[in-house]
Amino acid sequence: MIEFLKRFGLGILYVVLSPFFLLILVLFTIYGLGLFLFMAVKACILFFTGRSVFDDMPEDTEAKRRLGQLVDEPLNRPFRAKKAVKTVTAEPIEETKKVVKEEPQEEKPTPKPEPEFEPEPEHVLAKPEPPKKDGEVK
Amino acid sequence: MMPLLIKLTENDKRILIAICIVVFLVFILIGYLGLLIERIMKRQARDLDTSMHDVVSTGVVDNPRYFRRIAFKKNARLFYKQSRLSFLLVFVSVAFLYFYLLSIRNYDLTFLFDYQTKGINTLFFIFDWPNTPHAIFFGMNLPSGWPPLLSAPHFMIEAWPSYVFVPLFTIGMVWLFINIQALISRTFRLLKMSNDVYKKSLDTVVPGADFKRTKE
Repeated sequence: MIEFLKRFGLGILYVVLSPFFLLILVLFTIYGLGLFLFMAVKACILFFTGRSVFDDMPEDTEAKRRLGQLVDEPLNRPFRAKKAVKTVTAEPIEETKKVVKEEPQEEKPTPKPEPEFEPEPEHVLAKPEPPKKDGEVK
Repeated sequence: MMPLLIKLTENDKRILIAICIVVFLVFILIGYLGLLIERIMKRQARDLDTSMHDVVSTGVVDNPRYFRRIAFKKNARLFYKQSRLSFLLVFVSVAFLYFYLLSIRNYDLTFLFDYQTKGINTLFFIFDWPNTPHAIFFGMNLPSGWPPLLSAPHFMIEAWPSYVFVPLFTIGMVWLFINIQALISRTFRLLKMSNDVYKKSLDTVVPGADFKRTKE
């Protein structure tokens, strides 16, 4: 109910302020038409100079450069590093470790491994005792 | 006031209550309509956030005045980009009407809204609003019924210029007004954010948090 009352109050407010809203809309319509014509003329001129009105602004380029630098080094993301524009030589980061490639060594003849002693299975070692005869004295 | 209310019959009181409820509902509806427009405008204003985020987060734009300058430029570009097609629609429709009027050598535009043969209104129900039946309630002359029907929807081949011009022009203009609404919402957003982004608050500050000690 409070929500409805609130909307009712806002409804009255909107009705009272509607002339001002209309005034803002009319002013922005005039401004928008002027802006569109200005941009259209600018776009035509830029088109014949080989550029576009939607090209990156210098600030965008600088932001991309900074973002590219950030993305390139610590995060090491190759898919974004391709897009990044590198203009500043990056100093090596402390954490980065240089990988030293080892030179190939001459191959030495490796000794043949001695055959390991393999104990025979128990059923082979344990010989069956001869059957005892009746009346035999130990 | 009280003697007037006493004089009212039971039926009159019911009608009075009904009118009050209708007025209440109309204002509530306007309130919700305002809420809807507000939400749409907030959504439209986010385009500016998208285009300004990187230049602010990387520190390229570092003060409110510079922010406003860049944001106004980007706002203009966005508006131009969004409204090219709507302008084209309006331009094409107006050019079509102009050449049609040239061909028939008659510059009277009233035929566009004719409901009998040549206008777009042939496609709609047309009511005779001036002859709406009225009745007197509490001394007020109020509408008491639906107005008589003048024309039912029917297709007329002679009205084809209206069928081409009016929809194209209407769509173009509505689209253009939506873009202008977006322009307004982005402009207000950039004016607000140009101050808010660079505002510093002591409410959340931690003493010495940004101070880095160096080796002696």
